[in-house]
Amino acid sequence: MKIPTFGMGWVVVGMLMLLPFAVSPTQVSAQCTGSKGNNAVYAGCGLQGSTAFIDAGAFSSSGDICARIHAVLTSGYPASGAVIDARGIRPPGGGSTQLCSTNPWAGITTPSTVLLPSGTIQISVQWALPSGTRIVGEGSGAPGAGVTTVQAASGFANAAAMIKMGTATGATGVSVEDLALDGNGTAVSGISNSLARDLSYVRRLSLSNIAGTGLLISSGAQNSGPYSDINFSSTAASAVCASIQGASTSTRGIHGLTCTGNVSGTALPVAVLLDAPNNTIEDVRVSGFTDGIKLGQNLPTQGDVLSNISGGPNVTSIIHIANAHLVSDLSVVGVAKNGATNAINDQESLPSSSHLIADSSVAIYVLGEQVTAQTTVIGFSRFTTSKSANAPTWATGNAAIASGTACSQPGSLYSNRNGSINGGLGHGNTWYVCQGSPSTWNDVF
Amino acid sequence: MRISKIFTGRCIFFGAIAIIFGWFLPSRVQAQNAGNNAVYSGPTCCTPSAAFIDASVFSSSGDLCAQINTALTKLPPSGGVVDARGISTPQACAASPWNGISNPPPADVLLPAGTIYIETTWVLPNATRIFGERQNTFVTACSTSPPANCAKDFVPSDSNDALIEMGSSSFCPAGCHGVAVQDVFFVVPDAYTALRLNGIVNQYSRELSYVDHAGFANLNAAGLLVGGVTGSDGSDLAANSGPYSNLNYNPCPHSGDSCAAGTTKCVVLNAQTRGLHGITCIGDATLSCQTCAGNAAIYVNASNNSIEDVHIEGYWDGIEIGDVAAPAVVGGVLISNVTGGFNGGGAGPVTNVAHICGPNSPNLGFGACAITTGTVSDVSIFQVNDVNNGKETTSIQDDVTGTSIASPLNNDPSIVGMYALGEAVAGTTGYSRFSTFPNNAITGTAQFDSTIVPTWGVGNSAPPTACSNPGAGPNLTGSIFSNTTGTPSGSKTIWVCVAGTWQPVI
Amino acid sequence: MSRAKTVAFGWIFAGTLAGLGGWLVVSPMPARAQTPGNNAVYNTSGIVTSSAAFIDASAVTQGSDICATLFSIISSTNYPGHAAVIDARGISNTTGSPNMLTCNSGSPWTQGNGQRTNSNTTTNPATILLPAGTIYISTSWILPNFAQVAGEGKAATVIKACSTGTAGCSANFAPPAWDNSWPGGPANGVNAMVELGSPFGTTGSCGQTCFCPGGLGSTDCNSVGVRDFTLDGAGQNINGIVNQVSQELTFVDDVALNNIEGIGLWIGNDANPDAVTSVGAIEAGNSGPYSNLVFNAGTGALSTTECVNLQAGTRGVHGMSCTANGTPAAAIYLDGSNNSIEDVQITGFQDGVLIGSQALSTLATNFRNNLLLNIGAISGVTNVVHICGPNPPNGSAACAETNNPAADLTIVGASNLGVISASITTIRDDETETALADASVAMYVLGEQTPNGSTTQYTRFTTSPRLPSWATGNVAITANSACTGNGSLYSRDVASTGTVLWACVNSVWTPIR
Repeated sequence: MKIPTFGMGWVVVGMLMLLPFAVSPTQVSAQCTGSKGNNAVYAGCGLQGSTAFIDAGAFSSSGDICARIHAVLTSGYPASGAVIDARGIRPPGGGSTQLCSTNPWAGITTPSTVLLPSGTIQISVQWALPSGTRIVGEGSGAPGAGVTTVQAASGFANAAAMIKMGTATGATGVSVEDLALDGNGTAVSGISNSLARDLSYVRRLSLSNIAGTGLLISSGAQNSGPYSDINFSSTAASAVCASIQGASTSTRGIHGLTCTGNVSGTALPVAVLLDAPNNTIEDVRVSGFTDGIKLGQNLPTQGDVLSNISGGPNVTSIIHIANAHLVSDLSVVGVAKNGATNAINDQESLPSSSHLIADSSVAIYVLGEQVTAQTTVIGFSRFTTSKSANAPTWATGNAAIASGTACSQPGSLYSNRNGSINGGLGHGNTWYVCQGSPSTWNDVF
Repeated sequence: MRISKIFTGRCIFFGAIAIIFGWFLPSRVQAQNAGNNAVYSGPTCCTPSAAFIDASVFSSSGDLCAQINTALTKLPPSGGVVDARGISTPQACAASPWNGISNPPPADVLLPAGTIYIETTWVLPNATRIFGERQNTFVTACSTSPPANCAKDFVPSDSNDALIEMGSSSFCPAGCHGVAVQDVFFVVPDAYTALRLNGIVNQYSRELSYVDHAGFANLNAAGLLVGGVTGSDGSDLAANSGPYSNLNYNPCPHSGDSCAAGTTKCVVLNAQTRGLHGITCIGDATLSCQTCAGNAAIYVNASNNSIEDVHIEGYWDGIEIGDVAAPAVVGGVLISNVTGGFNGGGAGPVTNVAHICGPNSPNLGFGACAITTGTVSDVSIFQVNDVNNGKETTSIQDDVTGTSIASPLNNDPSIVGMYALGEAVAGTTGYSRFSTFPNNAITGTAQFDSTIVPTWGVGNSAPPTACSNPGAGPNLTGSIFSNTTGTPSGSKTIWVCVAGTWQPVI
Repeated sequence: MSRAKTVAFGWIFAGTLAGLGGWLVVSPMPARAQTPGNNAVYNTSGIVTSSAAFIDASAVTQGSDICATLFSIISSTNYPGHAAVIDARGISNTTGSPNMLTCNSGSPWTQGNGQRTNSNTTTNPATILLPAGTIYISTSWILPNFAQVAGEGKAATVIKACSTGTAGCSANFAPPAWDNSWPGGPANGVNAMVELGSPFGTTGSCGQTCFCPGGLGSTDCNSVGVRDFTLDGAGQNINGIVNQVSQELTFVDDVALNNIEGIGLWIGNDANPDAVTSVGAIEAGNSGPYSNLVFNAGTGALSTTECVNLQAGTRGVHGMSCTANGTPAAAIYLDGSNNSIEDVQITGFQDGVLIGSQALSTLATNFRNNLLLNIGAISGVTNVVHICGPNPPNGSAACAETNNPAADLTIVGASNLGVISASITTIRDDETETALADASVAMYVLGEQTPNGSTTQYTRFTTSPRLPSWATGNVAITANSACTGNGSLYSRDVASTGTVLWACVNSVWTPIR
């Protein structure tokens, strides 16, 4: 019979065709759900969507990377926030550069953690990060060679910052980490913070080709920081590595900073401008700037601590205490020239003819406050271990000093720990002061 | 019937072809997504996401490192994230994950929990960071001795004899950036005795290169070695690296090692860095790390380093500054919050918590640095605590000025709030110096006694007559005292200690 | 049927099946269900398969709440032997029950409030990624050895104490009774929202499941850490984060502590450090750093509310803001040695950093070797730094405890950034009867008592001109000029034949040499 023949033959064909699916790892699931952008994880029902993070590439396929991130933030985004994983968004057509024509956080107030992909993201407008926004790249690399690089497109608004921390006064929890910023030679700044405060920080950041200020922290950013592990490189004449400004801009400090300007040729003016009280700046290396850290240029400042500051080639003064505005209660601990001309230029408390400390390194230079005689300011309280002729110090040794021995730091003290009573006041060999012209050691007691 | 049979056979044949074609077609379409995460692009699953590459899908590549290696080759040139946390452990790795990759892309590599046995050094290329799961991820040198964990003993890739190298001359001859190790513990098995191994060696990685939350156990050379290779610009290729933070080291030689055989250390800094912040170094009082004079836990052999928040036990010297030969200069070093020794329990005392190397070691009992010809100056030390439970030890041993700030034998700790060593002052035999330590420890054994550092005392009454501790011994000669209530005719204001008694100046 | 029709039907059938089969293979259809919680990734064959890189907690069978779900994962017999990353970021109040984020069941490591048993306690290590949202907790989260908890940032993840009236909470927050009575432990119990380690485990002498290896008083935890969330005490008199037994590599980072009327961050316990079997012998030494923290006491702050209580030697408190309403006595209680406290801003506490104020045991009587760097008071602070001792200045009331003399204390950069007045001191030193009302002080290094000296005679260096200090300048001082800081020295740093060294004697600059 034909019909049975047909039926048997085609049944066999059908069985053969469906056989692989009986053994294939692919099977149709049942009753698992998911939504676009969900991660797929295994559940009892098979593959299920998880909202542990939102994959921006899968969530939206239209527009550039910023538009796609914005789409996540504006479509059913949880009010309490989420992690947005944009690491899978690659430049269309291959390559390593993709464009971003909008601010992904425009109009956004909800918190988010956004993971950015490797490669270069060229931005046309500022990224203004609202409270609770954290952006994390895949590595800062080196200036000009970041793993995740945010680059200013030509035409980016002059004098603007590429990234602004905070969109309203008192913002908190805004952070940027593992990223490189490339100013692309435009007159932009890197990151500005005048709004974000507690738990707002920058960590592991490379800055290059920036003609403005790499990191600008100003009034409104008190208690922000730390700003740590930053690497800045620029040859633009107006470039400043970092700046902290404002009478109340006390932060949690800058910890770990390399500022590289013009290491040969004309040095750039200033690496770090510090015109704010109560800031710690530590573990810093500066090269290619006339002044490494300059205090008191724009505002009075006090209570700052600078530690482990190192110079390099084409640096005139690693620390410059200006006299434009009062600088007081400044503690400098650990400065080394490493090729710079001067360790410290103290125009505040040292006379104009002798305000340079040129020691190869200085353990302590603590500048206190003005001291008066009657109402006349006569000097500053100060402790320094510097052997520079311009700043008295206190030396201690184990031997007496012969009468008439020359000394170079008038006003300095010397204590001989093996001294003895030998005629009392003015005739002893225990305590000396450097005095006279020319200066010699004279015993006090 | 004959025609139907023929036709049936043909249908079966073509059906089979269709099946085979259908089976293989999706593999050709989606093979390039191997390792990609699967995400939802709509109500149904799945679509691939390149957010990271999961290395566990490359099980056919071989061991864990081979799987990571395969995943690294899948990354775009701009780099990405390789997630190896799904690979089961323990496993042994025959080669480095970067073996054979000539231009490795930047990568963050997430390692699984468990033990990874390595047969050779992992040399990390530029912009490469490895992350473990904190104290749950162990990278261990292979050993074939019982208990054998590998087929071959660990063999380092070069003369650095390291488990990990951050950068190399081949990866980055002018210096790498952004190389990091975080949240990983490194171990050398007891049975491994072929070589003295270093933990992490960084000679080529600069800014934004760091080690954070890492631990080392049982290494018998150095836990962390930084610097020592000079670039074409004259700077060390590891300069400005760091910080090296939140570290826990238990390296110490094996029993029977002699002092001459070489000693172990926790950290050696041969370059200027962004600091060593937060570290515990535990040696052993019975072994050469503690019994060999001049052996230190931490060596600071370059200027501009800040060492803070440190705890050390069981080493002869806690922190040695300037163990360098002439004409090298070490200056601008900041040490703060260091505790050395033990307090009744723990791994043993520290003879000198902070030891400044130089030619004037006054008390042979406290030992000298191995090398004393370099120039050391401008060292600021804040908060050094010698908690050695009555041993003959110092909180600060300064061989530049010949100063020992020793611990008394009555179990009181010897603590120095501030000790700032400046530089030689012209016309004197002295150095600029500020110290707050006013006491002298008399131990009964001259070689363990303190030497005095003139200091400045302040009070609201005249000082007592004697400016020395009860009993014989060194006094505070040269120190000054300010009496805030002094008057020219009454109790004087400025006093100076001369030969053991306070003398009024004015 | 004709042969042609047979062929036609046959081809149609074959083609349909081929198309169906091809579509089934090519389309991204879900794979066979594998271990719940595993991630799905594409394998080399282009097929979706599972990866154990992390465990997605939202994909497993949900417990009564997020804590029960996490507990079921961590305590499972299939849990990886070493540790795992548990991604709970996908759990929300829509995942399961309406109150999935309210933990009435217990914590991720313990369930119930009764005695610890092997069935209701697990101490397997895990790194838990918490979701955004508010997670209400009814009892303490006690983290075992090697455990970590991370949120999505202080703005996104809030761990809040249950209080009566909160939807889903069955009662006020209450710490487990078994954790509140340690031999040698704090007198009033730990009472913490989060504990970094514990000397306890299962019933009795700890047994198999110890939060820290070895159990009671035997050894310590390591590498326990929390970061990136807000801890909200809901205005209750409880403590925020307590670390009594976790040491190296233990940390707190990027955490906000809000509305906590007890202690925000409490480290160490000197209640009974000499007892070998007591937990006090372990303490939290070498733990830290505790970094990037914010404390807001809220409107109900008590006089006993504290920002930080530090009773051990640590790797420091680095970066902290403490804010209260002016009622609490002190922000940071420093009663331990070997600490660095840096970059701190304080508002609304009577004392900013209070040193040596607590009556502790025989061992720790001197709090020494501490470094305070960049401490600032914004407003509402009477003493930015207050050192307790037997000699309070200006008739001020002494601390309750004056027998813990501080020594070797270095203060670099302390400032009063608010109103400057004589009643507000930047540094008050009850050891040396000192009160400095300077707006800021660059350096105040309190050394040790001078040999044979009185209790107010200490080695000391300070840049404050109100105390004996050393000033330098390039002018000669006119005779009989007034000065402050009796005992100060002034050096003229100009080479000249005249006087070069003066002393401030009885408030008059007096030439010495």
